[in-house]
Amino acid sequence: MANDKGFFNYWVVTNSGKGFITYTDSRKFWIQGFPGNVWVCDDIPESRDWGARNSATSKTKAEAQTIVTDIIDAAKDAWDDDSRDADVSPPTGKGTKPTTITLP
Amino acid sequence: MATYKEIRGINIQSLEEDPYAVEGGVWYNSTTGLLKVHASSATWTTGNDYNVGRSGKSGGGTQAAAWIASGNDDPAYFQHTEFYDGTTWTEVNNPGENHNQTAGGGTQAAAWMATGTPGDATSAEEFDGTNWANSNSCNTGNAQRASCGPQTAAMMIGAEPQTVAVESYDGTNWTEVADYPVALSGMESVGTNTANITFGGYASSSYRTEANTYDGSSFTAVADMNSGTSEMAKAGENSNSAMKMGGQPGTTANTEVWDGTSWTEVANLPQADVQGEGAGTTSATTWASGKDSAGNYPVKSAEWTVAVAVETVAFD
Repeated sequence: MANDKGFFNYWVVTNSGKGFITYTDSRKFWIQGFPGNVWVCDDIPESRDWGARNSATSKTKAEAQTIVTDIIDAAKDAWDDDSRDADVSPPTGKGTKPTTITLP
Repeated sequence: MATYKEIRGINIQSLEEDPYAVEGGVWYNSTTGLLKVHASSATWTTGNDYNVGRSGKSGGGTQAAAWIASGNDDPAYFQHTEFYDGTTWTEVNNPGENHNQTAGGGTQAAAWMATGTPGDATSAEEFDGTNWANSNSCNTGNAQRASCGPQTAAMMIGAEPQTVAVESYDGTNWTEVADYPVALSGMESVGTNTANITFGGYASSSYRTEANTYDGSSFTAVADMNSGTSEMAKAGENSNSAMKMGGQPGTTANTEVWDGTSWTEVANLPQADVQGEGAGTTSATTWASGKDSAGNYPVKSAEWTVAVAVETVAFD
């Protein structure tokens, strides 16, 4: 469930596991991961602290969107080139085609 | 307007420090000068990576004692069984069969797994906490069968290709017991072979919202989910308490909780995912990723926890 505040921070950082997103983080701000290790969260002081704590690289929305789009476009191309049945899940078929992601 | 005392029978207490957590409790903290409340709060936190990234696996157990096994990363099939102890994922003994999109359930100490691809296998296995051993075969061998229940009271529903087939396991034999109302694949189920809820699914280019409870003899339609979904992860205790995480279409992070009456959309998974696996209850869940939006197979896990926390009452 996304928030409706409309102001976000965009980060690139690898999910390092336990402690990457804590209970306190999740209670204080909305955060969601996307392909390319892109993370989007509410733009509040606590989320900026989260980015600093995890040594995340700050991106503009356009930069983050480009990372995600490039990955999804490559996945779409791979799907188009795959001759397996789309109605059957991998590895027997190729499953559903990756869909465009528009960052909030 | 009714006063707080008229509603609760007591006045708001003035306390020098926050009391023991009881959901719904309200008090004035005279030290900080703030009005406080103990509110229920549910969130996702990230967990440590598991070892072998894959989708289409089986799993079960609890948040702090979960297991996963089998699966694929297209094209490879995996037998790997992993245990989670609340902190670390550890590989343990593998099943004898090498299958994908298996059905399964139970605990770390008494798990079961059946059917799957390749070959629409009807083989089944049981795990005793240390080793997997073959058990009696099931009747319908297909991928994506919804599954629920412990080793002695399990059930499988539907399959890919879509079917209404339902079979029940008593710890010895699989028996066909009923037809699901619609022929679907990619559903999930929570409960036992005498009381469960089965939800979502896919057929004829349609991702389904419907859910049906089973009482040991027949299925009854209950409230629909908010979003039509198949190939999701699931968790929960029984037919009145279930949770679905991620799934298709579009590889979603959407998460919903069933409370016996309605489905409520709650906080999303940290990342969108399809064919992940869940374990635990609707208040304490472990989730292991399947396939992400770009078709990769990450090794991520996360925990869903509902806890009572102190909140400060804000006044505009």
